[in-house]
Amino acid sequence: MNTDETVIEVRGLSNFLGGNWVHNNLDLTVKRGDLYAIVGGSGSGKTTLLRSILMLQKPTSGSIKVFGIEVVNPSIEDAQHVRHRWGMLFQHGALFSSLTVLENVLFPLKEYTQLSYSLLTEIAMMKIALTGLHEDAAHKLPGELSGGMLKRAALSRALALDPELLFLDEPTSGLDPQGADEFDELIKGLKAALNLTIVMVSHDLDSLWGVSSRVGFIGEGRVLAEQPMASLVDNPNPIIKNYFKGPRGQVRDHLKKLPSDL
Amino acid sequence: MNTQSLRYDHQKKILYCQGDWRVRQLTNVENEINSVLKTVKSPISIDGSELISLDSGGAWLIYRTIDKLKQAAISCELKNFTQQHMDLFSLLKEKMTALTVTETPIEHYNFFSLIGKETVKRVVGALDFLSFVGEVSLIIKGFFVHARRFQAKAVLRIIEDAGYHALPIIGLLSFLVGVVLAYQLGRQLETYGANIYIVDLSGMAILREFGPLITAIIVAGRTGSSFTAQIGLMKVNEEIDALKTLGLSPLNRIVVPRLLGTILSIPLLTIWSNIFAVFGSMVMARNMLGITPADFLTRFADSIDRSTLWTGLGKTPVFAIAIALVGCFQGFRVSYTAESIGTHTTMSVVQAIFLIIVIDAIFSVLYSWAGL
Repeated sequence: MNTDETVIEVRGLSNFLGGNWVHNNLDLTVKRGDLYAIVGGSGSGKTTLLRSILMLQKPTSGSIKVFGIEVVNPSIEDAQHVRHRWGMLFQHGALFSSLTVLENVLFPLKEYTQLSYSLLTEIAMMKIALTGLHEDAAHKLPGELSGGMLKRAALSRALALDPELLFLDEPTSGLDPQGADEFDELIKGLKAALNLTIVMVSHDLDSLWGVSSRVGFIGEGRVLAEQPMASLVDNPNPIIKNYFKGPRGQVRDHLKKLPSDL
Repeated sequence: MNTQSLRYDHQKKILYCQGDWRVRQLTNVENEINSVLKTVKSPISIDGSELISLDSGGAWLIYRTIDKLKQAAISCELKNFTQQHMDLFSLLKEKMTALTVTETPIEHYNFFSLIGKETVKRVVGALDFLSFVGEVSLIIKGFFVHARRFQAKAVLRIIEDAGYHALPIIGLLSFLVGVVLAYQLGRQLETYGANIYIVDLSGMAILREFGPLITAIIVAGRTGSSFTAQIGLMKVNEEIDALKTLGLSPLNRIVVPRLLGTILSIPLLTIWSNIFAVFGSMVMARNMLGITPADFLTRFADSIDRSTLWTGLGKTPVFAIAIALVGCFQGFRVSYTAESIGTHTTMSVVQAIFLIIVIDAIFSVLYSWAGL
């Protein structure tokens, strides 16, 4: 498999929303096998960027290619083709509230495969187990799960059809530090095992240090820098400096000299 | 896509996996594996050299095949799989040890237990509604005592939503009902040559029954349902809990303005509805029976006294209370699923209309006792 293959290519993306230019000529590139983190201050347009890539929102102008297919004004076939190859973990899970966890994972499987129901149930249970959930959680409704379990359940649904590309919107938000660490490990493990390319929006600096291979910093409607975390914190751009300057940004500072195992 | 996904070499006892073993592409492979497994009696190996791709779903199929063979005490060897595929197998093995696959348990009830369950549910629902009405009554009492807390703005907004925005639809539908009513009555009256009595009959029917009833039913559909959906979403968003933790009573802040707003809107809407319905029958009376609007109005003033209007309007606050209370009550009963908002919104409309008709019937009985 060509590791240099470009999975997402955003060129000249502009978004005009609510009287503001959220994005102005934004460029972004994600290669196969990346664990690409999108960071930036509040209101810098991280979510809008993600929604534009996911075809949930039509950009004002610009081009977005996913797997080499244009997803701004795509044909219906192209759009479906791309949608079958990606998975999305929403910030609050977005599990279907009237279905159990197992039924949530089964839902896309039943819709898009031709295998028997019992085999699909096994595959769904396997996905649930892969994300570290126990069997009894599978029969619960999303409303009965804790925050951490909800994220894991939502992750199993995102992985249901074995996507090549996985989007994570604030995967560790709302988790306790230990839960967040475990979730980071889980994502790293699944990425290696399932050969995933991951794009995540995150504010969690530990998470950025721990899992990301490249970070795109968004500010002033553009990607100001696209580099690994270790060099990003030394970027001279004042906006980036400001972002990492606070006490939270400093905690990991002394650790960055340590050899990274990524 | 019905390409062969596997091939079994009987001589060498090797099972070759072929092509794309991705969960979206696989179709008939389950049966193919089973038919191979039936013939296998001695150790075999599974070969991955002809695989184009393998995802975790495909890996699971291979993993469970090995597992089945193991249970039949047949050993099995994996050959020519890439390192990444082997990693996938070991991951599955690691995660699967604690996991057994079970079907979602389906609960079965017999006929009588279903009747029992339903009865208990209804009775509990009715009691809950009763206690809700009680709580609201207590709050209402306090509401007027602490006049400072009177939320005129909130009430006015409900009046705007439930009353003002309902004017066009109620006007149009009432006009049409007036037309239909006059048409049906007119055909009968024409045969007796009693044309002018169209005014008495339609005026009476509209002012006493049709105006209040149409208005109440439209408001139940428009406003009662929106109360339920609003409150239901507020509950799901924990806004109700937020009010409680702030020490504010959700009943006070949410139910009372809606209740008062509806009580004030419905009588006014009913008058509006009366006007349009009478206008509708006036138009029909002119076209069908040749009664001029001037004649119609003169006769109307002579034959319909004011008490007719009041008997009709007297019912409307009771309709309003039923609609607002049922709408709010169902909203508070929403649980944390999207489905339940739908269920309770439906229930709110159905129960409100049910109550409206029951109340209307009760009023008819009461009025007939009172000789009105």
